[in-house]
Amino acid sequence: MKTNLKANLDMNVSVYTYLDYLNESLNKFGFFKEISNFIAETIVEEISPISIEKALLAREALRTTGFGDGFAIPHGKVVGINKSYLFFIRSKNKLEWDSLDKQPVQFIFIILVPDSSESNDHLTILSRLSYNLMDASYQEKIKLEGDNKKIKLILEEMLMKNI
Amino acid sequence: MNIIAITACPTGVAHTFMAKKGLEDAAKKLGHTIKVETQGATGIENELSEDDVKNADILILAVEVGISKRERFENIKKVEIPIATAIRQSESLIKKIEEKLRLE
Repeated sequence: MKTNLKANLDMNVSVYTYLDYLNESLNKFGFFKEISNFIAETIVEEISPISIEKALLAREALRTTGFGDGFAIPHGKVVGINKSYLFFIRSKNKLEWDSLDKQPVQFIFIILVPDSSESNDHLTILSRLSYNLMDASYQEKIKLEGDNKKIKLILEEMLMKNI
Repeated sequence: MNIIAITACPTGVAHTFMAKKGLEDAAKKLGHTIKVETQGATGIENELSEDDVKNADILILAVEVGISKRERFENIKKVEIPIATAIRQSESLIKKIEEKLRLE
């Protein structure tokens, strides 16, 4: 489930992918609560779900992270973690997100980075993802690829690509 | 054409880089060279040099915030567009610029 990119990437980020995530919530705020609980329970056990949810809500309040074409990249600095995480979630049920193109979201990239660090890793991850998501061939792979391992390789490629 | 561009958005990252990619892809597709400077939350990246500016035919500003070092561009033709245009309609934008420069 996990890939450590430390060896070949200029930052330390752990990547997790969920290709058939059965979400109960159908809007982004419910989803933030649900996914924060999921992450805290199953993956990053040292942090409270509330600190994840808070970080995501804080960023979302500035401007929507639904960038169109069914993609969203919610992100934030989280108190209590000491490395960066990228979660890719393909939700079974479409989410109301107030996206730029008003379309629902189904492909979600969640970026969490330590609050303490001066690092700009979340911005680097965000800039590379958003840049590469403009690419139709990446979009298609992200939407359709059924193999967890392959999706992870695609994400790694997107993160490593020099802009 | 030699195109130079700057992209910058208020929250600083995603749109800046989506606009960069939109402009780059459209320029390449239409057979132009392009260099895009980003002024995002991580600062200036891929900065346009004096030579870049001197050799350029047009500057595209896809910016929704004030930009740094604007004085570099006093003597160049420029077009200012909303960042969404660079993300979604770069191709028609560049075609319009082609047309305009041809008429001059």
